[in-house]
Amino acid sequence: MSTTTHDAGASTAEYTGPAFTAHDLMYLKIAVMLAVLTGIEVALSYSSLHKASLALPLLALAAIKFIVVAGFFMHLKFDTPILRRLFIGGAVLAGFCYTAVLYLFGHFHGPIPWLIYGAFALFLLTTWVFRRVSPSAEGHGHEDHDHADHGHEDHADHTHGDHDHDAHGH
Amino acid sequence: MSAITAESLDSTPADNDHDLDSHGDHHATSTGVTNEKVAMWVFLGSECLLFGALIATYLVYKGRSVNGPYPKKTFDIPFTSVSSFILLMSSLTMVLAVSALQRNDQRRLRIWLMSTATLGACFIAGQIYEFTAFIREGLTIKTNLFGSSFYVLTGFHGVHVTLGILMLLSLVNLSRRGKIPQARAEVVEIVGLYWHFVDVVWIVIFTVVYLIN
Repeated sequence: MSTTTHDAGASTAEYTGPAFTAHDLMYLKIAVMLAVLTGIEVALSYSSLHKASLALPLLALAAIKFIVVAGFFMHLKFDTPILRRLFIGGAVLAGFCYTAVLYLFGHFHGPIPWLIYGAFALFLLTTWVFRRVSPSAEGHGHEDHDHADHGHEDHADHTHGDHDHDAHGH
Repeated sequence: MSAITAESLDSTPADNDHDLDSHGDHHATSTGVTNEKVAMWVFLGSECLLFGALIATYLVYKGRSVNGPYPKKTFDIPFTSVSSFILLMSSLTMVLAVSALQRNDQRRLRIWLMSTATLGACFIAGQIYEFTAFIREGLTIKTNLFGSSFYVLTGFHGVHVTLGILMLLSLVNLSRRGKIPQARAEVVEIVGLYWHFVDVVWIVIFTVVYLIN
């Protein structure tokens, strides 16, 4: 393969379809939501509430942002379950491990570690419910693998006919 | 990963769609996804452990400094909030870049990739400014336990962002040379995964280090 061929291929393939698709608008809405959540976080940190009581809502907001970015921007919600397991496995293992470390070093007192473990359990339960509710549930990995299509559905409709967009949960 | 062929480069967008759809058939794996993508997710899972260790170390050490400056009087929350917002928005531009390539819009792919790299560079510039301000206030990596753990944690994150910027610029360069056809959208997606992960880590650092102070 020659570079000349590449250059020629790149210059001839000019895209003429729509600049944005429905999925792009969804990403925009998610970004606005993330910005609003960040604003709420900052506002909360300036509130007169006791710092200890602020920790839980701030961590909850961070967890929501984490899940939204991983789920939608990283396509974890639409991708095959094995990727979800790999990432959530690493994240949960890290969470359990370092919560234990912090407890051992006296960073936590009382029931805080159990609250954190409870939050992890809630996180796992939420992801499980997401998978149940989402049409792109386990077993549809190959359909979801095709999520490369979901950025150009309007354009691709002409070539794919009744392509299964619903497999992505949209 | 599939090699670029002259056929794939000379093909129309519709042909590229066909290539993309048949991608899994040509490179069938037992997982149903390409090995590169699985490898990236395994890597990101291991990165969770790395950053988890750094965050835990920071939390253990931040309250044990015997001399100042201390976190409460050091951080500039409004400034860091703007930096966080910039990094969050870079995730949006990254996902728009992936979306542009999936519909073979090479021009917008480059625009969004450059936007992402620029936003990332703004974040790094902000971090350098912040570090400089802290050093002027007397907080260096050697000053106290808070300084050591803080600089190591945020410095590691900064290095990750910088590597991400380099990857994005490489993608822009490859796209200019026509080496990222629509059929290879997964290459951009994999770099995107890394970039979003860096963003996700900052979401945690911003809350745990800066806001819960």
